[in-house]
Amino acid sequence: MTGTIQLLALLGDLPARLAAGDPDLVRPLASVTGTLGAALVAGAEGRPARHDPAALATALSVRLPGWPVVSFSDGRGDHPYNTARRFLSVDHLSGGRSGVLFQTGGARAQHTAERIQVVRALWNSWPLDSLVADRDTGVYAHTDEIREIDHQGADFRVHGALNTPSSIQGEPVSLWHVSTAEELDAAHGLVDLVVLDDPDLLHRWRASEAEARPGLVAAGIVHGGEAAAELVSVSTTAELFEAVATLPPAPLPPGLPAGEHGRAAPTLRALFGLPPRSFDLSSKPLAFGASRA
Amino acid sequence: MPDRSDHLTLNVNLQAFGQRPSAWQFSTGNPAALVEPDHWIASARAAERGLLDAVFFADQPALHNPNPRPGNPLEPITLASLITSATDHVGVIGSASTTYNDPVELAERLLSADALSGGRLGWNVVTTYNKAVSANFGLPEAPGRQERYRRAGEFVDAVKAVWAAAAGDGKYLHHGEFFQLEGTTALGPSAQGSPVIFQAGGSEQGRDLAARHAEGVFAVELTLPRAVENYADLKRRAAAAGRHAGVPRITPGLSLVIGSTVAEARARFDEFEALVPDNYALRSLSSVIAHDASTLALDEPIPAKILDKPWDPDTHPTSTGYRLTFLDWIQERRHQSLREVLRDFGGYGSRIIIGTPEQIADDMELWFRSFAADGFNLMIDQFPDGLHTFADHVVPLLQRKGIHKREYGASTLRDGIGAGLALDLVG
Repeated sequence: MTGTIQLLALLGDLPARLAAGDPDLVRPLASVTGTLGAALVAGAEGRPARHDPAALATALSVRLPGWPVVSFSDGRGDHPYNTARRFLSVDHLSGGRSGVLFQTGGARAQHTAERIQVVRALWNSWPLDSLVADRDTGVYAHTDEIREIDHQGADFRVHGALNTPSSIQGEPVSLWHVSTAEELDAAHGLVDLVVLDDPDLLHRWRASEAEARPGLVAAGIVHGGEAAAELVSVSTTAELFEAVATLPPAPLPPGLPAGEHGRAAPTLRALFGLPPRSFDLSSKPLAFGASRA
Repeated sequence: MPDRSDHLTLNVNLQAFGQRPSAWQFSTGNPAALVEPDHWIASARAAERGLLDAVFFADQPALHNPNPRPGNPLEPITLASLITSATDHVGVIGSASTTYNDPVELAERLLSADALSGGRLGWNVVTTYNKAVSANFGLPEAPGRQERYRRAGEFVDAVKAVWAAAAGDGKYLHHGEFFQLEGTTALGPSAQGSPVIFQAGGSEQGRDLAARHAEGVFAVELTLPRAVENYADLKRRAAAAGRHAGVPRITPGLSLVIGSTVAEARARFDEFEALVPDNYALRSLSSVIAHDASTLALDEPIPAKILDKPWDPDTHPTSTGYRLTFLDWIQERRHQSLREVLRDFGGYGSRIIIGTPEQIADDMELWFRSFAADGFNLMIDQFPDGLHTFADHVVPLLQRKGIHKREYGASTLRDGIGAGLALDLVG
C-alpha cells in the first residue's frame, strides 16, 4: 500500500467494458466504492481518441456511482465555454466527484493557461447557493449572485455567465499535465494539481514555495512521498485489479453503515483534502443587475 | 381517413421542470433538482413507460435569467450519456450548434456517445441565432441567417465525412468554404452506424438542410392546413434530394395539459398560469409579432397594422417558420381580445391542447392520418408527473387506434423511428 491516491488511467478495452456495465469489472469495483483513495481516468488514450472523455466519464458515473472520475481535456476544437459546461455537467452527474486533466494539445503554454483560466472563471460564475426555489416568493434563483466573467484575453473573449451552476464540491478538481518549465510556472495559482512526468520539472516544482505551488501528481517518476497522487495506466483486467488491491483507504465519514458508501463517498476535492477553491469574480459585473430576484 | 401502416414517432422535449414556466413551483421543492441525475432519469423512465422513441433537449449555450423560468442547466450530450446509461430503450436527441462547435470535435463527441449508448443518440442540428451566445464565443454579433445556414450545410457534410470514415478506413477529407479537414479517426461506427440527424428550423434554408440531411424534423405548426402543405413540401424536397421515402420523419411540437375532463384540464392549466408573472406570455407573443405587446390594450384585438406589417424572413430575429404558422393561426382570432389570444397562445412556440386523453388521442390521430405529421415532439406541463399521465391515459388510446407501438421492437433510435434504410453517409 503506497498511501498515495492512485489515478487509474483506463486503457485498452477497459473503458468500453466499464461504460457498458460489464459485471466482471463493475461488481468488484462497486463493492469498494468510497473506501479507497482512487479515481478513474477517462480519455487517457490520447489522440486519436477512441472515446469522448465526457461521454465516458458520465457512463462510468452511472455504472459506478460514488467513484471519482477524472476526464482529459486537450482543448482541440473545443471552445472554453463548451468545455466548461460539459465538464461541470459531468461533475454534477458524478455527485461532485470529478476532475479535469487539462493538456496542451500542442498549444502554447499561455494559450492553455488562458483556456484553463476561462474555464475556471465560468465554473464559478453562477453559485449553486443562489438556487433557492422559494415558492412563497416565487423566486427560483437569487440572480444578484451571478456574475459575468467579462474575459478579454489574447486568445479568448468570453462574456459569461455559464448556464450551469457550480457543483456541490464547488468546481471540478483542476489538473494540468505540464511538460515545460513555462507551463509549470503558468500552472501556479491556476490549477489544484500539476501532473509531472519529467524529473527535471519535479526539481523545479520542489524549488518553488510549498504554500504557493499546486499539488503534485507523479506520472511514472520517482518522488519522495510528496506527491498527492500517482497517475498509473491500467490496460487489462489483471492490471486493474492488481492496482485496486494496493489502493490506500479513503477518509471515511464516521459511523457510516456498510453499503452506504456510494451515496456518502467524499467529493474528489475532499478526497484530495483540497479547499473548496473558487475563482474570485467579485470585481466582475453582475449578470442580471443588483435586484434580489 | 387514409390508412397508414407506420407508427407515430413520439419524442418529448424535456424542458427543465416542465413546459409550463411555473412548473418548478409544483416540483418537490429541491432547488438543485435540475443538476442532479434523478430528475432526468425519472423523466426518461417515464418516457420509456410510454414507449416514446426519444427524449429531446433544446440548447442555448448562454445563461438566461433563471427567473421566472429556469432553463436546462446541463449540457445535452452529457445528459444523453447519463440517460442512455440509466435506461434500456429510449433514445436521446441532443441539440448542438453548427455555429459554435468544431465539426471534427463534435462529430467524434457525438459518435462516441452514440457508440456507448448502443445506438440511441440523435443530433438536433441548430444554427443558434441568439446574441447572448455569440458573446460567449468571442463574436461581436451572431452571423446572419444566410451565413449560418451556409456554414451549417457544410458543417453537416464535414460531420458525415468523419462518421463515414469511422465506418470505413478511418481517413476523412473535406474541403469547403469554411472547413479544410484532413485526418484520421480512431472511432468505429455505432450500433446504428452514426447518430440520427434531426433539424429544427422552419426557414427556407432550414427546410433545405432538413431535406438533404435530416432523418427527423422538429416542426412548428399551429394549423392543420399549413402543416399538411409543409409536410408534403418537405417530403417532396427530400425525394428530390434523393432521400429514402420514409425520411425525414416530421414531428411538430404539441403542448399538452391533460385532465380527466375538460374542466379539470382547464383548472390544471389555470393553476400553472396563475403563478407566472403577467408579462411572460406578453413577452413571448412580442417576439413572434415583432412588436412590444405590453404596449397594447388587453381587452382589444391586436391592431391589424401590426399583424399585417411587412417583414423580411432574412432579418426576422426569431424563427421564421413559427412566424408563418402564427400568422395563419391568428387569422381566425383577429376579432378576439389580446387577453383571449394570450390564453390560446399558451403553447409558447407550439400548438397547445388543454383537454382529455380522448381529445388528445383523436387530435394526434387526425394530424397523423392527414399527413400533417409523422408524430409529435411533446411538450409536457410538468415532469415527470405529466409524462406519467400521458403514458397511463393517452398511450393506451393511441395503441387502440393502431398508431402507436405496443413494445420497443428496435434496439436503435434509427430503426425505432423507421429510418433504418436511411443511413446514407455520403449524401
